Amino acid sequence: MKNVNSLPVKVFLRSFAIQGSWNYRTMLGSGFGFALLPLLERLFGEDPERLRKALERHVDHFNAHPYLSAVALGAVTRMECDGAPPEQIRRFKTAVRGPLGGLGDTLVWAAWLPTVMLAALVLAVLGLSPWVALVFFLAVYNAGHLFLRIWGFRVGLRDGAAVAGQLRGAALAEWARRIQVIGLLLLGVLMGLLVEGGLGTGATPFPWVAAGVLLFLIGMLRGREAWRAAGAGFALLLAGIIVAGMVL
Amino acid sequence: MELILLASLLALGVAAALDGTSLFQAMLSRPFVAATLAGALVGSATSGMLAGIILELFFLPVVPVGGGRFAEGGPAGVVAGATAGWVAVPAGLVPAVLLGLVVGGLGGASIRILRRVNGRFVPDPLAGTLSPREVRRAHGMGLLLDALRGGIVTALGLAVAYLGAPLAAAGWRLDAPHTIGLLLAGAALPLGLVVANLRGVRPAGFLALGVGLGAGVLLGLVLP
Repeated sequence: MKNVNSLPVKVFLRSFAIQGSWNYRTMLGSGFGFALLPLLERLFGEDPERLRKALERHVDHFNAHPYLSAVALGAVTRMECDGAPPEQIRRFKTAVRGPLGGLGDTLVWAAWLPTVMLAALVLAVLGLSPWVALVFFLAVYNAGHLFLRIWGFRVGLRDGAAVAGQLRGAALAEWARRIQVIGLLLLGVLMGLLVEGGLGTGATPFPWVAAGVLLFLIGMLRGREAWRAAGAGFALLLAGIIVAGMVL
Repeated sequence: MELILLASLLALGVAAALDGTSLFQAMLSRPFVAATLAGALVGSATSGMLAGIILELFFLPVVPVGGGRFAEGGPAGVVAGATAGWVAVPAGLVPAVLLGLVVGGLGGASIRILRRVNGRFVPDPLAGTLSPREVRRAHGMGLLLDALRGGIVTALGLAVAYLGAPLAAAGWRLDAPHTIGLLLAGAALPLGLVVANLRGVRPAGFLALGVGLGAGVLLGLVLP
């Protein structure tokens, strides 16, 4: 790999802003190009035509989970420094964007985030200081968050186009499943605590427990299509009760 | 409202909005976090946290996946936490959660608008005239507009909260257990959605859910 000193670090740090210009046309493309700019300017700065072509292939359409975009950034950094053919780099980006999106969504949004948040909510409902629950959540969540970004970037930088094998070997999907089971355990604990103790107001009155069980089942069976309608309906219900209380 | 307090709440709203998708994504934008911090700014972290817990239950299945539609939790949490801090709980929790849901929807709609706007000035790879300056400018513009958007959404929510929340809480007739019960019952549907999203881990997941439920009930009975 060409000697690019601290440039990979700059690329990695810029990855924290990769979604800054997210749009429906190129999605992460503009941000991907932004993150790679210091490297591309160093490699091709003296040849405006090569720089322009490098920018074209990196602001083009791309999408991935923001944390796992570090894998692609690291790998592309390696490939550009090694002088890989542009077409190979394009094909690599096209090949990884789906897996990096799906894997990230499953591991982070559907496993790590809800599980750590549920743990923090349990601590909060148990009566611990707000700051304990807050610091716990931010510290534990971001430990995993930063580990994933740093690991992903380093693996990409080390293996380049061969990084796909590393991703398979890391069994991230299996880790996601294990974390989700823990998340469901914590969800059960939280629900039990809320039924028995409310939020420090004593046991939740039975009519609300019954309503809650019904709504829980509706949410479980109807899925995402029910959330938007339910959120709007609940907001209207609260507004209606408030207005009734003010008028009557 | 003091100017310093308003500026602090707006700054928190902007930071939470940026953290939601554009920058870091360190989860300052989660309702639980944003509401607790907003409540602390207003003078009651505990009230902010209570609003944050309930709102977080609603937002638990909401994640910023790709080009999907999602409600925005950061400014929603700030408004909810500030509201709960301004108006005594538990009555204050009702306008807090209500405003949180509304601001969340408003924030989500504004993100979709922003993304369409971003599409108008991000570099076109087919234009043949790309330059590093153009890439930097487009990205910087996206970040700036997101900050502005987050500030506007937060400001609107805070204005309604400051003017209307005390009136709304004064009109609330239910006592504390029934108020919390109603709010938690409403939050049960999104919790069911969380389980629906995790259907891939049956049956171990359902077993864990059941064990956890039993443990939670026992803890609730045993603990003071």
